[in-house]
Amino acid sequence: MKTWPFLLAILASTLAGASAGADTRTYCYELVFKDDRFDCPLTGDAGVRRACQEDYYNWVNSPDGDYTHPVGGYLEIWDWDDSALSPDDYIGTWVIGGTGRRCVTFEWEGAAYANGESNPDLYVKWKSKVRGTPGGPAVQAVDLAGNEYGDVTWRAAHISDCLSGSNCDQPGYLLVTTDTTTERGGRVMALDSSQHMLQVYWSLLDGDQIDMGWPAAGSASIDRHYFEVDQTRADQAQSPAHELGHTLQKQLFGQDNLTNDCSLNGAGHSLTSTEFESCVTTEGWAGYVAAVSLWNPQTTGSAPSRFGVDFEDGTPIEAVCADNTAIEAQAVKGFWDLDDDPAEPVGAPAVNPDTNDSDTVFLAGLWANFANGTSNRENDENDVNGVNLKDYYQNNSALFAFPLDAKQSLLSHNCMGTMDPN
Amino acid sequence: MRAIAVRGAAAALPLLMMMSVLVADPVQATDPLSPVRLSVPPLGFVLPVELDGVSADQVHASLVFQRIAGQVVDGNAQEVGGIPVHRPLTLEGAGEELSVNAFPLGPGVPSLPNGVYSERLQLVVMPDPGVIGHEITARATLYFRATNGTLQRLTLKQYSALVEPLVPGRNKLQQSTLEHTGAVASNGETRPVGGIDQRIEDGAPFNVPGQDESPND
Repeated sequence: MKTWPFLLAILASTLAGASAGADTRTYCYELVFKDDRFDCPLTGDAGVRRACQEDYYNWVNSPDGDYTHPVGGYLEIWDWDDSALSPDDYIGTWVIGGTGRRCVTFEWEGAAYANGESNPDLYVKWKSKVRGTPGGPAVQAVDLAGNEYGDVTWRAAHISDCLSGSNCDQPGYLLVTTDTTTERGGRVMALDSSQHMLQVYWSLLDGDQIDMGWPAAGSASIDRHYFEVDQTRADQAQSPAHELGHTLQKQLFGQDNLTNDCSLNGAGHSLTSTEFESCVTTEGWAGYVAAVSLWNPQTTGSAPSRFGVDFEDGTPIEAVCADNTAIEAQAVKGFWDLDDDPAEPVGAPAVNPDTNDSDTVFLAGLWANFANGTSNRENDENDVNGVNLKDYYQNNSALFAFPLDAKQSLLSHNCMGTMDPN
Repeated sequence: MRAIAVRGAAAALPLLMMMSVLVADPVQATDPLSPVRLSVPPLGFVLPVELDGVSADQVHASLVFQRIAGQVVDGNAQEVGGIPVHRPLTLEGAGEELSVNAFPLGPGVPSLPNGVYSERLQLVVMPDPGVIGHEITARATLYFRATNGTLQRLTLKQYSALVEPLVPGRNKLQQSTLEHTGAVASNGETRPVGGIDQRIEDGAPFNVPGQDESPND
C-alpha cells in the first residue's frame, strides 16, 4: 500500500539531487530494539498511539522476543573507510520518521564527505537521543555525571559500494539491543518512552535538549531541562513520560520548581495514598501526561492504567466524594476526562457526567496562564493545597469551549469540587 | 545541558537566597510508588516485598532467567541446557516482613554452568473486579556470575560491561569515543519500505577538505 508514495518520494528526491548537480544515494535499513515494557498499550489495544512490544520476532542467530522500532530516534549514516588509510566519513544525521523499514537519501558526488571516493560503503550509528518526529527538543540520555552515552554502531556490517540509482539495502534487521536487562537495554526503552511524550507535546516544549539521567536511584524531575529515570523503571513506559510531564509544567511556568507537597503521609506518594492537594494535582498532571502519551483519549475504548488503576473508570476511587480530593489517581482521571472524547455517565458518589472533550495540547498550554507569584492561583502558591485542580479551572474557565462541561468533567465528575478555593 | 543549568543556578545564588525567605524549599517531583514493591539488597538473593492494599495471597511470584551462562534466553524458551527458564516462587513471612527467595538454584536446577546470568523476579496481581482494574506488575532484576559452583552477585554496571563491552570509536568530530556494537538479525523476510527519514544535519561541514581517498576506499 505504501510502495507508490515511497517510489514517488525517491523519484522526487533523485530529481532534486540531479538538478543540484549531484547524484543521490538511497540507503534503506530496519532498526529495532528488544522491548519488555509494561503498563503500556500493545499492538491492537484500543487507543494505542504507538505500541510497546510492537511485534514478536523469531530470529536466526539472535534472541527471539518482542522488539519495537525506535521512532524519533537519531541516526547517523557513515561511509566506512579502511581506517589504515583514512577515517570514516560522517554523512549526516536523520530522525527515524516511523515504524517499519526506513530509507534515507543524500547527495554523494561533490559532497565534502565523499572525499573523492566513487561510492560510499554505508553503515548506521544509533544515537542515545530522540525527539518528536515533527520537531521540538530532543531528549538525550546521559550518565549521572552528565556525560552523553556513546553510539551503537553497525560499522562491521557496512554495505559496500552504494551505487547511484540502485537500491542500497542493509540486509536483515539491525538490533539496538537484545537484552532488556543491561544498561543499554534500559536506556533505549526509557528513551523510547520519552519519545512518546515528545511526540504529543513537542510544540510546547522549549530548548534544544532535555537530558535524561540514567540509570538513577529514583525517577524524578530535577529541573526544567533535566530528569532522571530509576534503574528499576526503564521497563515502565509511564515513568519517563511522567517525569517529562513535570518538565512540561515547569517549562510552562518558566521555572525549575513546582508546588508539590507530598509529605502528608510521609515521604513519597502513590496513586491512591492520601496527599495534600498540591501533590494530588501536580503528580496527577504528570500521571495524565504519561497516560495520554501512550493512549489516545479520542478513541472509544481507550483505557489507560498504571499499577492496576484504570484511569477511564468513571467511579471515583473513594466512597466519600470529598475524600477524592486527596487522591492522585483521581486527578489523573480528572485531566483525562477533560481530554477524552467518549462521554461517561455519572458514577456515585459524584454528581455529574463527563461530557467535555478538549484538545491535549490546549490543556497543557493552560498552565502558562498561572501568574508568577505565591498568592492564590499563582504558580508558586504558598499553600500545601495550592496550585490545585480548582486553581487550574478558575484560571482558565473562560478559555474552554464549554466551561460548564469542563467544570463538571474535571471537578464534580471526579469529586474534586471541594478542593481548597484559596 | 545539565552542567549549564548548574552553572546558571550558581550565578543566581544571591538572588535565590533572597527568594528563599519567600518560597518554600523546592520539592522534587517524583514517580508514584507501586502498591507492590520489590527491593534489591546489595548481597544475596532474598528480596523484601512491600504491599499496599494488596494481600500476599493475591500475589503470583515467579523467577524468569533472562540470560543463562552468557546467552540471552529466547522469549518463548521453556528451558536452556536443562535449566527451566521460568520458576514459580512463593512469598515468605507475613505482615510487614514479607520476602521472596530468588536463589537461582532450586527444583530442577542443582547447579549452574559457569557464566554470567540475569534473572528477573516478577510479582503479578491479577485484576479483581471492583477493586483492581488492571493487572499490577512489579519487577526486579538480579545479576550474578557462576564460577565453579560459586554465585557472585553483580551490579548492573558490572553485568553490562561483561555482556555488552564498549569498543573504541570516533564521533563526527573524529574524537575518540566508546561505542556499543549492534547486532544484525534475520528472519528470512524483508519488509516493504515504510517511508523516508528526515535529515536534520548534513555531514559535509564536519569533513575536512583535502583528505582525498582512493575511489574504492
